[in-house]
Amino acid sequence: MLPALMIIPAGAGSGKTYSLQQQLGEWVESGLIAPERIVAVTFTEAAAAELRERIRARLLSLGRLEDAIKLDQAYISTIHSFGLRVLKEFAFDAGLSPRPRLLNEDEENTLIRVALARTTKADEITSNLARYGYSFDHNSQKSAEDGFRDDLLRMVSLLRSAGWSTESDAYAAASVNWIKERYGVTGDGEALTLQLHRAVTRLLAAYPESLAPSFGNNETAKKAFQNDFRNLKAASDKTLLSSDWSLWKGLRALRQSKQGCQLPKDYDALATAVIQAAEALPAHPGPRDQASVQVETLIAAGQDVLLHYAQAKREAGLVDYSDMIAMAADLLRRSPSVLKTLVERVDCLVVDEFQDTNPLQFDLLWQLKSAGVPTVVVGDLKQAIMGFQGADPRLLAALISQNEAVSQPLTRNWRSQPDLMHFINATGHALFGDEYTPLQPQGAESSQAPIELIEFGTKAKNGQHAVRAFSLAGRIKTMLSDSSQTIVDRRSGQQRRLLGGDIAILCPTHKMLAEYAAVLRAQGLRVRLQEEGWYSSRAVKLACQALTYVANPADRHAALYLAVTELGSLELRTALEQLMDNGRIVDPLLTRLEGVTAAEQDRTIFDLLADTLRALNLFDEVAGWPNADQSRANLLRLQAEASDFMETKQEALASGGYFGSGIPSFLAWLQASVQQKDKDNQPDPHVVDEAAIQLVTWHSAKGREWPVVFMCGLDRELKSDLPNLALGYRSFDDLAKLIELAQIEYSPKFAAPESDGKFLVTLDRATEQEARRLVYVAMTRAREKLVIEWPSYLAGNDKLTYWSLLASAIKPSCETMTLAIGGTDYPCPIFPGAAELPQAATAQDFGDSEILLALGRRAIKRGRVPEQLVPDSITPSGMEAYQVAQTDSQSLESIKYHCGLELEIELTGSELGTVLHRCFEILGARPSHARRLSAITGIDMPDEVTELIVASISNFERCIAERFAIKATHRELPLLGIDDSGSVISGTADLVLQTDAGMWIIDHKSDLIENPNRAFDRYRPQLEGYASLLASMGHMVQGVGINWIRRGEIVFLPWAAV
Amino acid sequence: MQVIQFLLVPDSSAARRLRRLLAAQSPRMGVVVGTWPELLDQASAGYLLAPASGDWSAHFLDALEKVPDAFWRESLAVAAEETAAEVESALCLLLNASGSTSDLIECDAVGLSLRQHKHFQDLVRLVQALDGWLPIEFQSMQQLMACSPVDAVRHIHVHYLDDYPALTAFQIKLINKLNADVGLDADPALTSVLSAMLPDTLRVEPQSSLQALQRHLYAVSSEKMPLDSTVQWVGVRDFLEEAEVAASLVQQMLVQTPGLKPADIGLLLPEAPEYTLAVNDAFSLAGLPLSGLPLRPRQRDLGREALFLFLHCRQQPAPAMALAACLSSPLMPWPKYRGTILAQKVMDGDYGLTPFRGATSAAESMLELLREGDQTPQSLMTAIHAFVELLDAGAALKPHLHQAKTTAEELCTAIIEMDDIDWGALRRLSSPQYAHLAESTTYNREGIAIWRETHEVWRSVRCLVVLGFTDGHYPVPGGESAVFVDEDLRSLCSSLGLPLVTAAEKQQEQRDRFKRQLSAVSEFVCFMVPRKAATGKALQVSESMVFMGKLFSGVDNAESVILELDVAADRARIRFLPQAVSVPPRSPRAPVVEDIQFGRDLLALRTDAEGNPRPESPSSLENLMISRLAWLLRRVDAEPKSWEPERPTVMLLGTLTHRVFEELFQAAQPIPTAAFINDSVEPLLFAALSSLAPFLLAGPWQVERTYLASGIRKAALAWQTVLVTLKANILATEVWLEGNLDGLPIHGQADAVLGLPDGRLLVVDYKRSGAKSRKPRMQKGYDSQANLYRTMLQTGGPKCKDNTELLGCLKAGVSTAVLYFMTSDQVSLTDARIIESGVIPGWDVIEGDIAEQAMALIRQSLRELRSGQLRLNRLGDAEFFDKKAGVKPYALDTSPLIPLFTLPGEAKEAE
Ligand code: SF4
Repeated sequence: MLPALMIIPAGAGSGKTYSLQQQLGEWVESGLIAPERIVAVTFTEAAAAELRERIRARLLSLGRLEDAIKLDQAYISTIHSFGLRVLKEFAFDAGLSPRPRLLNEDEENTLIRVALARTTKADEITSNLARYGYSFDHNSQKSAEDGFRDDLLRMVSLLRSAGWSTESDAYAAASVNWIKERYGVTGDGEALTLQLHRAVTRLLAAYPESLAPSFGNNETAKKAFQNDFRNLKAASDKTLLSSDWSLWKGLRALRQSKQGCQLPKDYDALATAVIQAAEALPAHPGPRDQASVQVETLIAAGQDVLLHYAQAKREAGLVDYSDMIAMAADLLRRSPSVLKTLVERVDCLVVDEFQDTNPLQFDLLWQLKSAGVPTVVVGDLKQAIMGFQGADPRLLAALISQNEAVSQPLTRNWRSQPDLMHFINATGHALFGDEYTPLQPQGAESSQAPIELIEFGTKAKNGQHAVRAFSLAGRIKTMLSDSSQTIVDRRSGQQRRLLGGDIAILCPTHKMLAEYAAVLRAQGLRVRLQEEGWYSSRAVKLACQALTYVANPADRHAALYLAVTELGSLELRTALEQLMDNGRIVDPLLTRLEGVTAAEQDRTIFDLLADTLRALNLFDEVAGWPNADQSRANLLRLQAEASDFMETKQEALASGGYFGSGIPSFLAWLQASVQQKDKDNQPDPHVVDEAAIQLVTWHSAKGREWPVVFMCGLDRELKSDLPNLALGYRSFDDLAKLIELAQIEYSPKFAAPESDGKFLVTLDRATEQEARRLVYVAMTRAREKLVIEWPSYLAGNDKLTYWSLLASAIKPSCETMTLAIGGTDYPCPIFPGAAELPQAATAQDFGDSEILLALGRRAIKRGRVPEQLVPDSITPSGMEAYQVAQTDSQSLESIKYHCGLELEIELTGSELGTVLHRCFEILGARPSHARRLSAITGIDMPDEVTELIVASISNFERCIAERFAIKATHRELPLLGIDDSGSVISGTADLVLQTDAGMWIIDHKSDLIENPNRAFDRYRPQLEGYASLLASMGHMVQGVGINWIRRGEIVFLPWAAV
Repeated sequence: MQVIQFLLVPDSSAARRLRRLLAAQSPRMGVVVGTWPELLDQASAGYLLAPASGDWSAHFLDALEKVPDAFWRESLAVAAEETAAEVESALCLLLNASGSTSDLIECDAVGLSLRQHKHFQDLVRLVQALDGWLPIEFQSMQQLMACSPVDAVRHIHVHYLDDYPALTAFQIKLINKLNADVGLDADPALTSVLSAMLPDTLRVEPQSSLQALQRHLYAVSSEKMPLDSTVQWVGVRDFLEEAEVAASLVQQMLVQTPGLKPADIGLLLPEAPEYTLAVNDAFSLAGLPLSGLPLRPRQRDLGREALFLFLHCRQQPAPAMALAACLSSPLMPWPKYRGTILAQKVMDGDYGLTPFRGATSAAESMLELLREGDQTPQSLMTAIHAFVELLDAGAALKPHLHQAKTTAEELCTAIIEMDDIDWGALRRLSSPQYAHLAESTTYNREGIAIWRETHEVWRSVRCLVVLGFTDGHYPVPGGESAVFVDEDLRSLCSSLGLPLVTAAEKQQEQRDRFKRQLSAVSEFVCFMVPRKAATGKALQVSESMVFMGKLFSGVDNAESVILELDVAADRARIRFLPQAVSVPPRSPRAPVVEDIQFGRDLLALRTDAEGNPRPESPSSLENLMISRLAWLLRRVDAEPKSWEPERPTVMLLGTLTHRVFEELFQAAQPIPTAAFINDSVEPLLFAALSSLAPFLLAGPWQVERTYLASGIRKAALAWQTVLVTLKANILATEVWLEGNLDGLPIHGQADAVLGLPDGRLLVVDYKRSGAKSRKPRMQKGYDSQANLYRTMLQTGGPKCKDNTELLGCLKAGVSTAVLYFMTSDQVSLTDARIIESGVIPGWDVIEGDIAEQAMALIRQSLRELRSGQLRLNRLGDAEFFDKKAGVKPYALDTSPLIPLFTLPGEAKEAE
C-alpha cells in the first residue's frame, strides 16, 4: 500500500529529483504503481522532461525496459498540460470541443475588452476615473482608461485564480468587511465635511482673491498660493468636498506665514481653522466607503466580464491558459463520474515545487488526493518566491502543519561544499528560526574559500551600482587571472581552472544587472545577460526594412535606409541627392530585392522572409560581424516570428486589429508584439558560454547553481506599494474548502498617510517574509564560493533592506577576517570595496578582443553544387521535359480510324483525358462493358456520347488488328527497369501489341492537337523509354505509336524507319 | 487474364528502395511496387469501380445528430467540426479492427466500464445511423470486397511482409479477397526480394557502438560496451546550426574517408519546413548536392482571405487595416502598386476611398463596395456577388479566384438561412488557411540522401547525420483521443476481442522505424541535438537518448555523452569537426556620418507652379528646429510608412476634442452657457467620431468614449469660464492663416482667434495634454507654434478675406497675445498679461518671450538650408531639447536613420 499522502520538504540542493526517482523506481519495482499511471506535476517543461528522463533511467538500470517504455504514456508535465489533458480526455463529458484551441494574447485581450464593454457594472468608476485614482501615467505612458482596465483585469485574474463562481454575490461583502476592519473606527462623515466647508467658506469670504499676485518675485510662494486658491475654490463646492479626498490632503497643507513671508493678520487664523478641519481626514468614513465601493464595483464588474468572456470563448471553442486548470477543476467538482474515471487511471500523483502552487491549482490537485489518489508533495517554503505569479506558500505551510506525521524532510545537501553549507545553515537559522532544518553537507570538498565579503563602508556619492560593479570586476579579474583558482567541473567531476562561465552575479532586479553588465564590459570582462533590443538590433532592422521594400518598392524610406546602411553601397548624401533629382534610388541591393518582389503574389511571409534573407545574403554577412552570434540568433527569431504569425488564425489576428497575411500586416503585428512584456528580449546566442560571467536576477536564479556566486544589490529598500489587490483566506483549516474561504483583499491608496499605514502593516510583514526567502534562494545557488557585497554604510539606517535582514544575524570582523553568526565564527576574507568610481574606469576600451570561432557557418568551405545530376528514377510519362527528338515526318505512318471525338461534356481537359483513356482501356478489352460506361467512369454521359466513343473504340481495335498481326495485347502494362546511367525507369504502357516480329508500343493521348506529326515529338522520349525497357528484357521492339483519340488517328513510327 | 504482381510496402520511400532492388536484379513487366492507396487505385481500376462520390462529411454530421443522447451531443453543439473529426477517428479505429460493420454491430460488449460501454454503443448506433456509408478510407475497400471476380479486367496479386506494413483487419480481408480472385500461388522469388528490403546489420563493424545501437536500442542488452567513434552526439544551439555544422562535418568526412562520396552519406530530418530551409541553405553554401529534399511550400489563401476581409469591411465601422489589406490584395481590379497606395491612404486615416485618376469602372465599383456596409442578409448577399465578380487576377492566381468564387457560394448558402447577419459564423466559413502546395522532391544518384523521420529509408548509406534529436522526435508522440484512451482500448480489446491499435503501439511502430533507419547505416552516425528553438526557448533532448546511454559502459548520465559545440574540451572530441582558424570579426561597412553640404538651396526643393517655395507649417518648422534630417526626409517624401491598427492616439483624441470645441465655441456667436455645453458635448462628440474615427464607436472602446466625453465636457466648461471672465469675443475658429518668416512663406490653421474688450487679439491653440508638457518650453523660450500664428497675423492674415471683423482688428494693428488651452488639466498658458495668474482657476501667465530661443534656432536652421547645408543631429540633442528646452524631441524618432546619422557631441546650442 502506498501512503495516502507523503510530504517531502526539500531544502535547496537536497536532491529532490534524485529521491523522487528512487522512490518511484522502488514503487514500480515492487508493483505498487504502473509507470504509465504516474501523474507528476512540475513547474516547468524542462523540469518535467528532467524528471521523466531520470525516472526512465532509473527504471532502465533496474532492468525494467518495458516499464521504461511505458513511461511515455505517463503524465509528467506542467500543471497546465495536466489540466489540458483532463479537458481533452473528458471533453465530451464536459460538453467542450475535443480539440480546444489555445487563445493567444491578442484574442484574450480583445475578448476581455469586448466583455468589458458589455458590462455596465463598472459605470460608477468609468465615469469618475479621476476620483478613483486613475489618471495618465507618465512613466508607463498609460492612459487613465488603461489604468482602470489593468485593475479590472487584475481583479478578473484574481477571481479566476480563486476559482470563484461567476454568479455568486457573496464575495463583495467579505471584501468590504476586510477594509472596514483595517480602516478602523471613524467619525461622522457629514459633520466633518460640513465643518471643513464652513472653514473654507469663511476664509474665502475674507479673501475672495488669490494671494499669489502679492508675491510677485517669490516663485515658491506664488505657486503655493495659486495652488491653495485653486483648492479652496474647489472646496467651496460641497459635493466635490465630499468626494475628492485629495482636496482634503491639499487643504491640510495650506501655506501659512513663514519667516520672511508674512501674511495678512487674520489669514493665518482662518487657514489654521481650515487645516484643523481637514486634519480629520483619517477619521472620515468617506475614503473608506469610496474604497469599499471601488472594490465592490471591481468585483461585480469582474464577475460580469468573466461571464461574458466565458461565453465568447465557449462559442469560439477557445480556452485560455488559466481555463486549463479552472475548467478541469470545475469539471471534476461537478462530475463525480469523471473524477472517478480519472482516479482509476492514476496510481499516484507527484507534485513538485508545491510552494509555487496557487489556490486553483491546489484545488485541482487536492480533488485527486481527496478522491484517494496517493499523493507525494515536494516543496520548500524557504524557496517560495513566486508570489508575484499568484503562488501562495501558505498552502504548503498549512499542509505541513496539518500533516506533520507524514512529512519526511530531506536532510542532506549535495550542492554546496561543506564549509559553505555550514555557513548557510547558520544563516538559514538566523533567517527562519526553528523552521529551518539544517542540511548535512554531502558536496565535494573545494579548494575555494567558501565565503567572501566585499565591504562598502561608505556610500558612493553617485553611481552606487557602478561603484560596486567596479569593485566586483576587480575581484573577478584577480580570480580569473590566478591559475591556482580551480573548481570542480560539474560534468567531468574533475578539478579545473576557474572560467568566467563558472561565475554568476545575482542581483534583485534586471535594471541593476544591466548597470553591472555595462561596468563589467567596460572592464574587459565577458558577460552574459538577457538583454532587450531585439527589434532594434541591426540584423532585424535590416531584414524588416528589406521586407518593407519587397512589399513596396516605391517606399523611399526603406530604399534610403537599405542603400546607406551596412549592406548598401551609397553614402547618405548621394542617396538623398538621387531622391531629390530622380525620385528613386539605384543600388544593386535593391535590384536583388526587386527579384523577390516579382515573385511575391501568394508567397507566405515565411517564404518571403527566407527569400529576402537570401537576397540580402544576410546570414552570411552577419556571420563575420562583431556580435555575429547574437545577430544570427536575432535573425533566427525573426523567422520564428514569421512562423508564429502564420500559425495564428486570421480570426485571432483580426480580433487584435490585424488583418491580412501579407508583409505590411506582418510588420504591423510584429511592431506591436515586441511592445509586450519580455517580447523585445534578445534570444541567448549560445548554449554554453564558457568565458562569460552570467548575470541573473535572484528570481530567475531559482533552480540553478554555479561554482562561484556573487550576491549583489543587498542595499535595495523593501517597501510595499499601495494600492494592492491580493487574494487572502479567512482560514486554512479545511483545505478542501479553500476556494470558499478565499477573499479579495484590497488595500487602497488613501489621501491620508495615516490610513495607508493601517493597511501597510500586513503588507510589510509579507514583504519582509518574501525577502528572507529571496536571500535564502540567492545564497544557496553557490557550489563552492559565495561572495557577498556588504553595504555596511547602511548601518544606522532603519530602512528595511536585504542587507538589514542579514546584518542582524551576521557580524563581520575585519580584524579577524571572520563572520560571527550566533556565537560561531566563520573564516571569511573581507575585501574593501571602492568608495568612488575612478575617473579612468569607464574610459578603458577592451572592445575589440572578440574572436569568432570557426564553427558552424564559418567553418563551411564554400562550393558550388554540380548542375547535371543523374535522376534516381524516371517515369517515361514524365519525360517530356527531358529531350525533344526531331522526327523526320516522312518516316511516320498514320491511320485515320474515326472521324474524331468532338464531345459536349462538362469536364476539364485532364478529367476528360482520364475518362477517355479508361474507355479505351476497358472497352478495348471488353466491348461488352459499353453499357456500364457511365458507372465505370463515374460520369453521366448522354447516350449519343457513349455511342460515339464506343464506335471510335471499335474502329480503333479493328484498325490495329488489321495493321498489326497481333498475337497478344497488353493493356496498362507496368514496366520496371534501370537505364545506362543508373536511373530506375518505371511506368505503365497503355497498349503493348505483341506480334511475331516483336512488340509495338502505343499510347493513347487525348490532347487536342493541330499537327499530329509535330506533336509526336513531344511524346517520343516517353515511348522510347518504354521501348528501351522492353528491349532490356530481351524483346524485339518493332515500333512506337500514338493514338490521337480526339482526332481518331494513329500515328506511328516503325523502328526500321529510323 | 492479365495479373499484376503488386508488392505492398509501407510508404513511397520504401517503394523507391524496392523498385531499385527489383530493377537491379532484372527488368520486369507486370510488377508494381506501391503503397496502400496505390493498391486501392490499382484494384479499383482492375475491378471497374467508379470513383467514389457523395458528400461524406455532410452525411456524417447528419448521422451524428441522429443518434439520440450520444456522448458527443453537447460537444457537437459547440464545436461541430472538431467533434466530428474526433468521433470519426474513433469510428475508424473500431472499423479497422473489426474488419466490417456487421462484425462491429454484433460485438458483445461485456466487462466494460459504464463510460466505455456508452462510448462503444453510441459508435455502434452511429454506424447504424450511417446507413451503409463508411468513412472515405473505407468506401472503396467496402466496394471492392463486394466485387465479383468476373467483373475484373485484370487481377492483382498482393505480396507483403508480415507487419511491414502493419495492416488492419479490414485491409487484410481485402488483400485475401484479391489474392483469392487471382487463384494462383505467390511467387517465392518476389517474396524474397521483399525481405531483402529489411535492413541487415551485417555490414556494420561487429562489436561497434553503431552495431550496439542497431541491435539493442529499446531492447535489453546483456552487456554494455565502451563507446567508440562510430556514434556521436553533438549539442548545438539551434536547427540552423545543426544544418551548418552538418554541412561542415560532411565536408570533413569526404576529405578524411577514402572512397566516400556524397551519395554514401545521409541526413535524417524531422518533418518541419525550417529544416528543409536550413539544410538547403547550408548545403548549397557548401556546394554539396542533396537528393530527396522535400520542398513543400505553403501558399497564402488569397481567395478566401479576400472574402474574409470583405466581410470585415462590410460590417461597419470597417477596421482600417481590414480595408487596407483588402485594397492591397493581388486579386483587386487594379495593379499592385495602386493597391499599396490606396491601402496606405486608409492607414493614414483617410477613409474616403475616393476613385483615383484613371480608375476603371471595375475599380470604381470596387471602391464603392468597400465604402458601404450591410444591415440585412439580402444586401450582404448582393454585395458578395458583386465583389467576386469584380475580382481580377492574372493566370498565376486563377486558382485563388476560383477559391473566392467557391467561398462566395458557400457564404451565400449560409446567408440564405439567416434572419440577421451572423458575422461571426460567416467569418468562420471564410477563414483563410495556408495551403500546402504539392510536394516537389527531386532524387538524384549523386547527392546526399535525405531521409525523413516519418518515412522508411530509400537508400542505404555509410554515414548518417540525424537532425533535430529533441523531445517530441524519434519517436513522435502518439495522439490522444477524447473517445478512448489507451486504457479504454485495452479493455475493449480484451472484452470484444478486437485488435485495436493503441497510441502506445503507434509509438512503438515509430521506434521500430527509427531502428530500421539506424540499421541502414554501415559506418557512422552523428546525432545533432539542438538546445534551443528559433525563438530562443530551451529544447529537451529526445527521449531515446536515455535508452542509448544505457547501451554503453561508463555512462551514468546519458546527457553526458553529448559533446557540446560550445565547450572547448568537448569540441576537441567531435569527430569530423573541421578545425579552422578563428578570425577576428570584420566590421561591416559603416556609414559616413558627417554634416552634408549639398550645394543647393534645400528650401527650394518643394515649389509651387511658379517656382516659389511652398509654405512651411508651424509643425514642420518645429521638426526642423529639432532635426534637419527629419525635416528633409519629409521634404523628399522619405518618411517611414507602416500599418498599425487604429487606436485612440493622443493625436486622434486631440483632433476629436478640437472638433467638439470648434462646434461649441463658434465665431460671431455668443459664448455658450454651461447648460448648453452639458447637453451638447455627447452628440457633438458622436458626430465627430462618426466622421473622424468610426472605429471608436465600436463596443470595445466604450470606456474610452465615456472618459473622452467627460474630459471634453470638463474642459469646455472651464474654457467657457475663461471666455466669460475675459469677456472675449470669438473672432474666428479653425482659421487658415498665412504670412511669412523672413520672406519664407508660412501658413497654418489656428484653433481660434479671440478679440478682447481692450481691442487686443489672442491666438488660441487647444492642446490635449496638461500644463506640464507645455509650460517648461514656454518659460525657456522654446515654444514656436503659437508665436508663428502670431507672426502670420502680423505679416499676413487669414487666407480667406471674408472675416471683416478680424481683418478690421488686424488693420488696426493691435497687439496680439497667444494662449494654449490645455484641455486635460484645464490650464490656460499665455503670454497675455491681461489678468494675473490664478485669478481664473488655471490661468497661468508666462513671463518673458516664449519663443525667443525657438525662433532664433529656426531662423538659423533656415539659413543653413538655404545655403545647402544639412547639419546632422548631435548625441546631446535629445537631452538638450528635453531638459534645457523643455521640448520632447519626438522628431528624433521619425526614422531609424536619424539615430544612425547622429554625430557624437553636445547639442550645438549647449556648446
Ligand atoms: S515471352 Fe516476352 S513477348 Fe512473349 S508474353 Fe512473355 S514477355 Fe511478352
